[in-house]
Amino acid sequence: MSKTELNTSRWLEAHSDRSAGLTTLPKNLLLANVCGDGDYRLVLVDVNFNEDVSARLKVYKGTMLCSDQSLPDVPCALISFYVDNIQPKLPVLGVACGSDLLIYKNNKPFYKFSVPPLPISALEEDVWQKLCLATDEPYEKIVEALESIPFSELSGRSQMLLTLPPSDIENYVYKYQNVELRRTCPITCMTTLYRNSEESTSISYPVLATEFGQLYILDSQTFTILHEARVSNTKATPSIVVAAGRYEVEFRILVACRERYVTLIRKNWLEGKNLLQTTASIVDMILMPGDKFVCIATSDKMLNCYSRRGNKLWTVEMAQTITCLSLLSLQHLSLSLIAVGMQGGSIQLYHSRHPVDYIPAPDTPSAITFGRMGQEEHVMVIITLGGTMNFKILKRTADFGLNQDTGISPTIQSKPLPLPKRSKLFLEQSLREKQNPMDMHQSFQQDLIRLRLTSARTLLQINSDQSGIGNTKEQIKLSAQVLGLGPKFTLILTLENMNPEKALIQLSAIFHCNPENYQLSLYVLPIPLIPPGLTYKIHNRVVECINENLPRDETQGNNTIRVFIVRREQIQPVLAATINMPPTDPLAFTM
Amino acid sequence: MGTAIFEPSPLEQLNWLIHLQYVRGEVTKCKELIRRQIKKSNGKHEYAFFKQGVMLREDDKIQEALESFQMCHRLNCDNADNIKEVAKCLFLLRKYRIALEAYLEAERISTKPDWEIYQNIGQCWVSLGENAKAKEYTKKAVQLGKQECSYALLIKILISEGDLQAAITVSNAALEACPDSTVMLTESGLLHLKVGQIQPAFQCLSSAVALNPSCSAALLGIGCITQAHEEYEVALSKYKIAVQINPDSIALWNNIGMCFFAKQKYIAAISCLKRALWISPLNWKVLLNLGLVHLSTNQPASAFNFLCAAVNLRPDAALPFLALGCALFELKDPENSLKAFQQAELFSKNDYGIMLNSTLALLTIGQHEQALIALEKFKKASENDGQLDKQVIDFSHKLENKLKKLMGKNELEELSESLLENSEVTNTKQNNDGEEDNVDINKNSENVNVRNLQSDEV
Repeated sequence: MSKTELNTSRWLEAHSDRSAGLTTLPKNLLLANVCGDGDYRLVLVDVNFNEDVSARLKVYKGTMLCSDQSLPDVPCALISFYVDNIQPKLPVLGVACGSDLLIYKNNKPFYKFSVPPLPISALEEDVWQKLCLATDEPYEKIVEALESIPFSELSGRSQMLLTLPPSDIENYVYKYQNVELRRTCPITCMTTLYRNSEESTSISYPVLATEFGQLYILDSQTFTILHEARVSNTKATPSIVVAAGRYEVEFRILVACRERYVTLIRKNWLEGKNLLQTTASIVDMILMPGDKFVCIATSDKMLNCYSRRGNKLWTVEMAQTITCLSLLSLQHLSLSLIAVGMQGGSIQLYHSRHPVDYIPAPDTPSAITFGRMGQEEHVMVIITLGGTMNFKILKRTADFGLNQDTGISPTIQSKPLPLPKRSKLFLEQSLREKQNPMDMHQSFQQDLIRLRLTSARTLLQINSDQSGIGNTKEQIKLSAQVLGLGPKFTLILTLENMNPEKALIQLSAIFHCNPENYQLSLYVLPIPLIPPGLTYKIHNRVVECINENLPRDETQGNNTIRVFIVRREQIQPVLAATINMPPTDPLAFTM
Repeated sequence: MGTAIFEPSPLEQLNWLIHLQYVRGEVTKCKELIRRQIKKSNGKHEYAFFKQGVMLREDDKIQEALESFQMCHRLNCDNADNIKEVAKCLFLLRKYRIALEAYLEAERISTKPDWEIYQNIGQCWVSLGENAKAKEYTKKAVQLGKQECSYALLIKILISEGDLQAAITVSNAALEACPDSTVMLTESGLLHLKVGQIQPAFQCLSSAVALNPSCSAALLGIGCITQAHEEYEVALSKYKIAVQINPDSIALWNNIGMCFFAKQKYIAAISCLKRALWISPLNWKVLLNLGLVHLSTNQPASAFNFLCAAVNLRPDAALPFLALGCALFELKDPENSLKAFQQAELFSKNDYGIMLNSTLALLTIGQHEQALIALEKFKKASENDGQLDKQVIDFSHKLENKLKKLMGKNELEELSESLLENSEVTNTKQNNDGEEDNVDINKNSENVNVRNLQSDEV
């Protein structure tokens, strides 16, 4: 791919309306010949997520809105399919709302199919019977029985009942007195499956999957269930369903589940088989036409491709979180590309694992579709999260450069290694060493030994030195200083708060000595608050008791004063120190 | 729509929307929807709580996520998924024992065997240090799920047990299940390299690089193999790319340094090795290599310092002692060098270099009988070795001649003369040693690299 080729876009910017204000979810956007006049319309569902959630079905002719009708609920999927072969061929629209499939023909409501309700537990039925009969028993008592059933196995009506305040229960029950109790099952995803021919205008059947893991294939003429299957033998909630093949011959339906499984259902299977499991949640899934690969976008920014047997073939990491996928079938080039919409507003086109084109979008695309619109064959419609509607037409000349030899990725240029320049000093030093290695070694060793000696000496000195004692945990430091020659001394203690944040409180200093040797001016001293980083000085006058009877040598062993810094209501002292008092100079004493 | 009374829609009606918004990364919208749904259901919406938990966990609010999942569990005790998520939160909170119990509970409740539960139980056992049990569960997970992460865990367990062969078998199976994983390809390549299977190692690493041209671990591995085959330019070109991606790799700088050493660019070698040493000052292999380079540049005093540090860090390897002995010999301290050689001999199995060097040291001190014994020992050991290096043979012959002469005459003057001559021989010998070491060390550094990878994982 040369640079010039990248600069000229393969796409014509046909229409961009930033004020369209659309909120369209993926699978809610399609292009179909809904009026039968060969002028393909854009059909989409616009959801309003304000306090009251509502949705509208909109049909555009070109850029003009030509039909707009409200829907009963937020639909999860929109499909279009042909129901008969009557000319002119006219597809119907199917909208999955809640547990109903609403069919629109000619932009008018045509039919409603409801998914069969789930079985209701006997207990629940019993409760409702009791409620409706209006017995003397208070409602609360009867309702209590419902609590024993797991919440998710109740019908919507009972779930609602349990959330109501007791005063409203009577009204609520009265309202539903004569209505049959149903446990409906919401549809979560939907697709179409061809009946017996894979032409685009041939009859196809809707395929529905529900919250509780049921899959239904409907007859599009009678709207009866043709086939029913369980999606998986484990707990699996369908989130995306895709189908390939023909119903009457052979088909494959793949269901991506919220539990990160992808299951496979074939003709006549009553239960799906787990085909694979991804490591991250599945955002979108596309079945590649022809070669039956399945491409899965996951929430960890990966686009994965799996074979039909569920073996991982390749993975490509995207720059951004993927928001939607769309298949671009280009029959004139016999090519299928995948459009990957990413957060931040970019769309990458992939041909298998190779990126072939990049399309900028106004902002994060929410839904993308590609196909025929109006009379134009290849149009990409992008609806963004910001509500912009954007049409792009693929130029007829675009060939995506697949015939050229595309370099997959530019090889990393090997820069020279960031080595430092050899310095003059380094060279001189090494030269010096080469000339006289032995002297150097010997003097080095001597110095090393000397250094060790000095450090050992210093360590010893520190150990024997008691002038500064600290408690690292409490971050207190105590240093002592003795002034005077004796027998009268002044002992100055400096207490330092080294904690930069907390002040020291509730401390006291206790002095301890042999009263036969020394007399102190104070023995216990409550210490006031010491703010962080400041010091407090304690002056203590010491008088040595000269006892002539005691021999000098013995008293020397006792010439210590011990200091304890204690905190109130704490048994162990915060800090303890021993101060060696200097011996009194006898000469000075006699004088 | 025809009925006058609308049946209230079930709570699960919009679950698909919660999921869709979550997977598309529309977090704020999704949270808003969940909040509304929980409010509407009076706090009984299981799925909303579930997704809320998932999102909280992704925001690293694990404690809150745990509470959310516990809420789910209270609403529906029969759902194994809820317990799984609770356990996952507990695991992330490092409460491995409780997490394990939760997973075992999930295993009991779930109707079908679930690889994810087995894998996580394995992970818990690993964290609790019970390798045997971890292996059992991880094997189950591998059989059921064939997921890359299970394979990776099993390989990790096997490596920690030292069973490299089994680890290779597992990695090969993993490559069949996920042929496109660069991580697994690199892992497998490095495992092959560890047991010395160069060809498969090279294949694995090449395909890893082909898939991801900036996979620095694979580039390092390829570089290593080419370096061992003395294709230094190729190796350097690989390292150059790798070092741009991973500029703080000790193994990379070490190997680049040794490449330069082999190309006799000593100053570049020293600066690369010093960079490696700067990243990891206590790596004895880098210290040893620095020592060897300094020996070759005739700087025995510097070499001594590096080798001394290496010996102190790794007092049970022969090579640092041999190099230290050489350095001491250069520094004219044959007594101590002899001690170093003898120490080296203790840790090595019939290393000719060590034997001959200690002979030389004995000769220099003047203990001729001892020297003769050492030489005989060398001869005995090398008798059956057909692939003896020519340099080694030459050196041994020179030593023998010198020894015979000295034994006959035993004169002081002669001795000093011979010493000079011999020391020259040793010089070449040392260089040779250095080159041999080079290969060895590359292998060693590979080990370092693998260890690094593991520590990253942790």
